[in-house]
Amino acid sequence: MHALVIDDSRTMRMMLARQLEHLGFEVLQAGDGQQALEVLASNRDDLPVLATVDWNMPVMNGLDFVKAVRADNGLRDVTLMMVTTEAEQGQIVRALAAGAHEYLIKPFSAEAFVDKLDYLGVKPGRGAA
Amino acid sequence: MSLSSQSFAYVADLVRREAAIVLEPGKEYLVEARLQPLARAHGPAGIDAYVAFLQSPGGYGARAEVVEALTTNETSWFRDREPFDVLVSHVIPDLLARTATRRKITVWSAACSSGQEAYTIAMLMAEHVVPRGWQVEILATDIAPGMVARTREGRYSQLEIGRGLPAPLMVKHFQRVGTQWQVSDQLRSMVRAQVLNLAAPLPLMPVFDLVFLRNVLIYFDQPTKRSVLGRVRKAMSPEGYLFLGGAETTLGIDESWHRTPVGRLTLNRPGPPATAATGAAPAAPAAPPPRTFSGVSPATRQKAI
Amino acid sequence: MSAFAQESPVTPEDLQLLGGDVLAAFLLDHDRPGDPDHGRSGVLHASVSVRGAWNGWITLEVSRAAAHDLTRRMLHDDDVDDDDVRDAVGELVNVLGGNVKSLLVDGCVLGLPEVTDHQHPDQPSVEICRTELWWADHPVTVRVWSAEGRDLHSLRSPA
Ligand SMILES: C[S@@+](CC[C@H](N)C(=O)[O-])C[C@H]1O[C@@H](n2cnc3c(N)ncnc32)[C@H](O)[C@@H]1O
Repeated sequence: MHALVIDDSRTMRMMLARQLEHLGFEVLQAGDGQQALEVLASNRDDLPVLATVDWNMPVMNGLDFVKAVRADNGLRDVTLMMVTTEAEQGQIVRALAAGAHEYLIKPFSAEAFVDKLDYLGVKPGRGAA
Repeated sequence: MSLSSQSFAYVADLVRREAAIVLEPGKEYLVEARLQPLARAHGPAGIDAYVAFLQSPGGYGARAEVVEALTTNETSWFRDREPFDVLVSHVIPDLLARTATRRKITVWSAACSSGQEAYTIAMLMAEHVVPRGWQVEILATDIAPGMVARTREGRYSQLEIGRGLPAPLMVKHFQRVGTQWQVSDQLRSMVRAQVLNLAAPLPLMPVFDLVFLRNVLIYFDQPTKRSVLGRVRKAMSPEGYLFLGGAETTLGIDESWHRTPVGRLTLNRPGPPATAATGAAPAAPAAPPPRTFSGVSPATRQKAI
Repeated sequence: MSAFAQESPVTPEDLQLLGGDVLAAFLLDHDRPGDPDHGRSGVLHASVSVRGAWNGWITLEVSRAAAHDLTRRMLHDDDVDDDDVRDAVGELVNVLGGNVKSLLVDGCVLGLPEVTDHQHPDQPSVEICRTELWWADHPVTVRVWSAEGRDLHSLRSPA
């Protein structure tokens, strides 16, 4: 089962990928929203169940990525979790309204990340194989 | 600076006497780590000197601090998830049916730590019970005064708020204040917080429909577990429900409880399960519904009244 | 907003708290930090801008030696190169910056982090808040700079 990590910081991508791999995901990575859409397009028949989405990125930011995914019916099964340093309440409301399912503010603990995945029910080994 | 075995024995005895918390030999590291900051604040003479001070007549206030420091306050929102799924799918519909005339539900979060459990319940009540015109009272108690104060305050750091609280519920029920998140007045007005020692006789309290006694029996020995369960049972409506922690059970400790499995969870009730007085409470135990995204199953899933 | 009354909307205590949370979350406060490699000298300057209803920067300064050690820990990898270090320090200032921004007035936009070897010689803005976080006996200096009441076009990042 795939997960897609979208962040312009390689460090953050590695940190998230490490945790997701530990949980049993195969991890794809993208450095901005545009790249992430390309990754999704080339994985149409085996879409990631989860994408973690940073907000501030070059080329295409995370909010626009979320909107693009939500506008595409073929991508509706991808669970979107914002993982970002944007911490204002208004920003969280905006991202949820745009179609993000969850929102995790950096910095976060490893437990918090796993809690959220558990809650979203996207653990590998559960749900669609 | 390490703890002598006499000091450990004194502290273990103190904590057992005051809070019924059992500190087996082997927990010296824990006692040392928790006492270290208190000993430092008291003076430079070290941890054994501090324990000697505790035993002096002037050590009364410090003894209470030590007991508090040796409580473990680990908690999170929707801890273990499943109890709260079952609360919404089975327990709330049944309670709504049973309390249709008095239209009030009383809840006790009996070892509330910093309040996440009480406010988790409050969120679910605000969603599924309050809109129907029911009144909800949640009493949150803990032996640690600092934890009771935190519950009353209802303010959580970024790291605390992130643990288990779904973002949609966070923005609905909390307001960001500086670096922290403040619980809404609506939820806060449902929760009353108070210091209470479960190992001592209980004060006069309302009769509870719902008791959360989670992740606290684990610190007690068998006889204490039995007596706490006995006292809690007397504080409950016979038709009420008791929720225990994942590693806790009434089985083999207090056989007077009636146990009903729901999915992987066991519900404990003071009285034998009866059919609901009115309406359509779930007749047979069933698996809990699948988790839903918002953390709250649609209210329409089960028609309660 | 007045040009000279540089009331800081952020306190050093806020920065301490946020900084502590950041180090804790990246597991940088767990066990004893390794001895930073003293073969490396110099300081890395990282900055991120805030624009909109409030204008300024959040900056972070850390010795290269400590930055290397931080990066090794964040990546769980002993073999890190200069690009890794810049990226990791950039992410630290990004996370701090976003959280500091949330303490300012609503409606600001966070820029992308920049990491350089030198502090800019011009004094582009006014330091309004500063704290030091300690990492392996190395200070990590976090500062907030305000460009309020100044001509924004003549300003460049302080990093
Ligand atoms: C691990 S927390 C559990 C919090 C919450 N119920 C949960 O499940 O997340 C245990 C709490 O029990 C409290 N406690 C320990 N001994 C107690 C006693 N004798 N009476 C009341 N509370 C006690 C501690 O102060 C601590 O806050």
